[in-house]
Amino acid sequence: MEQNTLTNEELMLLCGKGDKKCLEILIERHNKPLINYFYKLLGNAEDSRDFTQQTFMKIYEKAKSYKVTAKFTTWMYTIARNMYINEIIRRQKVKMGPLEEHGNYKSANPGAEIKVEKEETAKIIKEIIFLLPAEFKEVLILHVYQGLRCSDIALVLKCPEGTVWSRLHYAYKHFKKEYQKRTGENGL
Amino acid sequence: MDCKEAAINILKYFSGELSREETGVLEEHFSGCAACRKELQEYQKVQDKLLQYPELGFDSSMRVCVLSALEEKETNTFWNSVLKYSFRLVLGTVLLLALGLGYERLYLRLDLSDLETSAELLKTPGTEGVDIVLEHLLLREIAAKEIDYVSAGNFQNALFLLQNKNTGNEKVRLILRDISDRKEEKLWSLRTAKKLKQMLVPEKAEAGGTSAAFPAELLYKAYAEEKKQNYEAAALLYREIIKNNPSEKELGQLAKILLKYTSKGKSAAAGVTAAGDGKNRIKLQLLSLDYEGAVKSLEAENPFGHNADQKYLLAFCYGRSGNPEKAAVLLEKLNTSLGAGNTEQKSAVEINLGILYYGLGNKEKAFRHFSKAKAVGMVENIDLSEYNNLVKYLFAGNIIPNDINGCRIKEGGDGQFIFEALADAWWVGEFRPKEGVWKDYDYFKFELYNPKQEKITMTFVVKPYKDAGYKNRLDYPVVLNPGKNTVEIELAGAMTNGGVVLDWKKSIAQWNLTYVKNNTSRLEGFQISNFRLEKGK
Repeated sequence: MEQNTLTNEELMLLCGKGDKKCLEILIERHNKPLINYFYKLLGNAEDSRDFTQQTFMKIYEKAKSYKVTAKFTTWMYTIARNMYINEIIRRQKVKMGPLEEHGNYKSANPGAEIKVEKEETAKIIKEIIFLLPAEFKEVLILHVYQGLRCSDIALVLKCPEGTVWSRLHYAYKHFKKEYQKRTGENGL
Repeated sequence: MDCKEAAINILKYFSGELSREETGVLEEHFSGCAACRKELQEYQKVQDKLLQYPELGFDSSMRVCVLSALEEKETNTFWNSVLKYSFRLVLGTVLLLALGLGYERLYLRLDLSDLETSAELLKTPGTEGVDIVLEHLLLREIAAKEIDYVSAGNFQNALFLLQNKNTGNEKVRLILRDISDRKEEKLWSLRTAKKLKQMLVPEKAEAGGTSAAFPAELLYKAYAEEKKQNYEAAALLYREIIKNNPSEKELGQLAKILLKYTSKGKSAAAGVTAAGDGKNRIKLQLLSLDYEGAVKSLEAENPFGHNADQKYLLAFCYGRSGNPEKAAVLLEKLNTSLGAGNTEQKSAVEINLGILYYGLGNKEKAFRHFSKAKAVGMVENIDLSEYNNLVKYLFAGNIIPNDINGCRIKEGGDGQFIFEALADAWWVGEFRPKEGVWKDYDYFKFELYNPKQEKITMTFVVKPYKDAGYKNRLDYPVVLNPGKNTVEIELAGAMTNGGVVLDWKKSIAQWNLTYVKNNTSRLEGFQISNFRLEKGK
């Protein structure tokens, strides 16, 4: 397919003209990273799928006003992040407790046969990330898992790049400390 | 390069985001420094662990889900827009009835700006159509206590188009048809529909010859009598109309109701406290913008306590009659009494509380209420500029910067924003604060809680440019007693350590607050709140 060779930005411009085929390609390309982005933020697979669906819908709706001023992924994560922030505000205000699936690693990956030890490690990692303060968590996820450069994260977060670096630094330190606390593993 | 300088760049190096030039310098440093090499290895170890987080797989149903959801949305575009408009309008109406407060901007945004104009128009002969629409809106809210979203939206649309003389428009026809089709609607709607039909589509009426057959003059007279509360006279006129126009059944029904209303009114005790008359009086007071009068009527209406609707209305009138504090108190009470399931009213109350506090200058409280309204979920549907202004005001760096390094922001109990120093932070502050802001203020202030038992001294540092050395920066000692302190730093005349007066008109590179007694002095336990710039003492 010819459209498959187009860049994300070109696909977006065509989306703006109502070309849903292009949206389909974007969904194919970015579905997995987005689901995992939300999964790490929210800790719940079902919610992550819902949020991803809504993000793609928002992307299509906003395509008309899309201008190529930054990378598509930066723009996409800005939209996704806004959705996450709205959700956080909603949860704080309605005083929702931790997510049901939080800490339940098994349901996130049904059928996978992973050794108990590995499973235990994953559970701890998941828990530490889930409990990280929001501003550090998002920087860590965008950088380590989504592969965004700090200059791009600064665009998503609309803050100076220096702030991103310092948050990332804290996130690493915090993770290390928490991991050692939970496992007693000094090798980290 | 020393280790301190290298520390900043190790993470960048590890992430592959360090410039080639700096990479060379750092690698050279690595070759002679085991500690920094270890630091680099630690980043790698942490990342290795982080990457063990389980991944969710590709969701093959996503494409279909998104496309079908979009399709469904598009099919409903027309009804969505109608509903959305109606929804906003009703929210607007509730807001309007709950609180006007003279916030004209809010009016305009909700397309209700014409309501007051319409009330003025009541005094102008020949505008009965406007009168009826207006009365309808108010009657529904006050007397009927029933909210029919769609029809209310349609009336407002109709009114809007009428005033814009947008006659013959397809949208107008749709709205009118909708109103006419609502057989279950009260007579007000049908009458309004008829009246609007006459006013909006005159060419059609003339073409069909209906205007000649329809005794418009008689109808006007009937309206006028009804307005004067001469219900019997009005009813007789309606009956006369129907005599010649048997098709105008609703007018006959109206006549019946009016007569019933009259006898009910007669049988009730004389005076404005009678149920029907009391409400009518309030209605008229509202229409004539006599909010103080309406407050009196409402206060007298139910000496045993008001229901939620009455409280809304009373709060609206308090606000309108220059008593926003009272309005806020009443709404706070109403807010606590509303059940969790009552989201529409709750959201409206929260929005209005936000607007009230915004008007009263309590921005933190306003923000809190707007946030709650947002959480309930209705604010997303309106463009609440007060909220947006607040977010900008609080977090765009004007007063409260949003990214104080070494701090985490948490919301305090009463709408305050607390900056809590992180356990392992050794300084808090901000790089590149917003340009051109500091010059407009005289003081930089904040509250700080010193958890230690003894007096300590911290240093407030301002660097006019990046990497400014000791001589060229400001070091301002801040003495802190145990417990809570309010810190004031006078900006005018502040000098660098080298004796040069700082020029606040220029942007500054960094400010921070440090407590470096020795290398182990961390800020754990310090609570810092309310960073702000202030004018005057």
